[in-house]
Amino acid sequence: MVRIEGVRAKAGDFVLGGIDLEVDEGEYFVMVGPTGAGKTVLLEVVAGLRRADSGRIYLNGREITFLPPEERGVGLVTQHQDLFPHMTVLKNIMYGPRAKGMGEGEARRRAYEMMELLGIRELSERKPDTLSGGERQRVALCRALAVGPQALLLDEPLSSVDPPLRRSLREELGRINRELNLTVLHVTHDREDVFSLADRVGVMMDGKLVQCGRVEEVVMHPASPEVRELLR
Amino acid sequence: MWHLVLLVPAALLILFLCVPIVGMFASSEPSALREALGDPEVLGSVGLTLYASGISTLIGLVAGVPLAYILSRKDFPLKGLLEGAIRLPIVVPHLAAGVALLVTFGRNSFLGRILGGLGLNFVSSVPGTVLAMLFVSAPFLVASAKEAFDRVPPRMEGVARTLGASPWRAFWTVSLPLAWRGILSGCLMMWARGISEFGAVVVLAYHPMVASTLLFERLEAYGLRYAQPVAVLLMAACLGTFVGVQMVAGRRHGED
Repeated sequence: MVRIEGVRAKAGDFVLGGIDLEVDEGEYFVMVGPTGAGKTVLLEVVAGLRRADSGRIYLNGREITFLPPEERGVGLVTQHQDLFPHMTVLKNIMYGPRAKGMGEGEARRRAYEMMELLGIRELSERKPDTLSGGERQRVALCRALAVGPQALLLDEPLSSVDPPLRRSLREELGRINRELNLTVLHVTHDREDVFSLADRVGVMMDGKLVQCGRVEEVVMHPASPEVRELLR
Repeated sequence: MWHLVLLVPAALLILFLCVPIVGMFASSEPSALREALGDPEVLGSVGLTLYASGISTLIGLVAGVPLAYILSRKDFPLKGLLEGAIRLPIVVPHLAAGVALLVTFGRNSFLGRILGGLGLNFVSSVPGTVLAMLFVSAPFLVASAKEAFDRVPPRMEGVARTLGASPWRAFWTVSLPLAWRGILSGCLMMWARGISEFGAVVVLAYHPMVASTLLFERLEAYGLRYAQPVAVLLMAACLGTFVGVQMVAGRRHGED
């Protein structure tokens, strides 16, 4: 479970203001908001890539607010995928297990296991620059899952993928969430992600969480015309 | 017509850059070259030039890469001023740089006395040559390495961290391998700049003579005929090394 209590953070002139949020264990939570709402900043704060100015963050009851990213136990997939271009797909996926102290053989086994799960085993010796957008996203997801994160943070994971591929990737994300009972915090500006994937949805605007609840509740009873517009 | 407008000035510049070098090689008398090749003073000065510039590049690499990384990744007060100060040796006339070094590291200076007490003398010595080369050429390496680190998205390091890598591991396994080409290019520029240095070296360490100083002395004392073989040898040594490094770099790129 991810619990965020009154988290505030500054990113240049932008201020993320007092976010309170709980994502239950195994829940698929989608945070939706327009560009510049602060969704990425929130994920960076949870991942430890940006310092929270105040507030507390807990993961499965353990406070992680002041821990460095490598000790938090969260996986992150960015919209740019950020695959390491100088490594093959296999080496990219082995990177986490190796960094966590696994031996070469064990890390390789773990990487193949995860590649099987995502159906990308045949890509293992390819370099990232030879992959399609969908393949890159699957590899990035596989790499994040290979370290066995307690929560997965997804930052607009489908935004750089062609529309026809999005549906299959959405199905993939939903399947992984269910099969691994993985807590997922997915930020997006695409309402399709909300309707296809979310157990619950949060709406962010101008650095604030303006509404949160089950998808039907938020759609039926939007807190403001802006929220209605966003989910229409 | 448009292509002609581009091609004519481009071709003129290429000719201007290449003709003097090719001309110097072509007009060298084989006997004078053979004589220079057998002259211990010439060989010693070319060797010293390559060695001192190599050592200064090594020092620049060890200190300059961390500096470039900090400048690329961190924001802090007066950062712009610091970056300007680091670039200063590029724009300062090199004779003036030599004078500045002499004032700072000369035998009668505060630092010079302390370092002299430790057995490190910079006036008319190889360490002085290295110091002068380091001063005028390190900014090239720092600028090139910083540019290379700028091209590696910090996000990528962030992802490496979330995968379990320490900052140290993320640097060595992600940032450095992705920036190495720019760093190598900076090393080559620094090394080349060190080799070609004359002004700062001649003020701080006239002796032992590097190739540029020997070239100057022979030109002044004996004329062009005696200076040219030294210049040809120096250029041949530089070209050979540059081509070698580029080939290694190219092969490594192919393996990546």
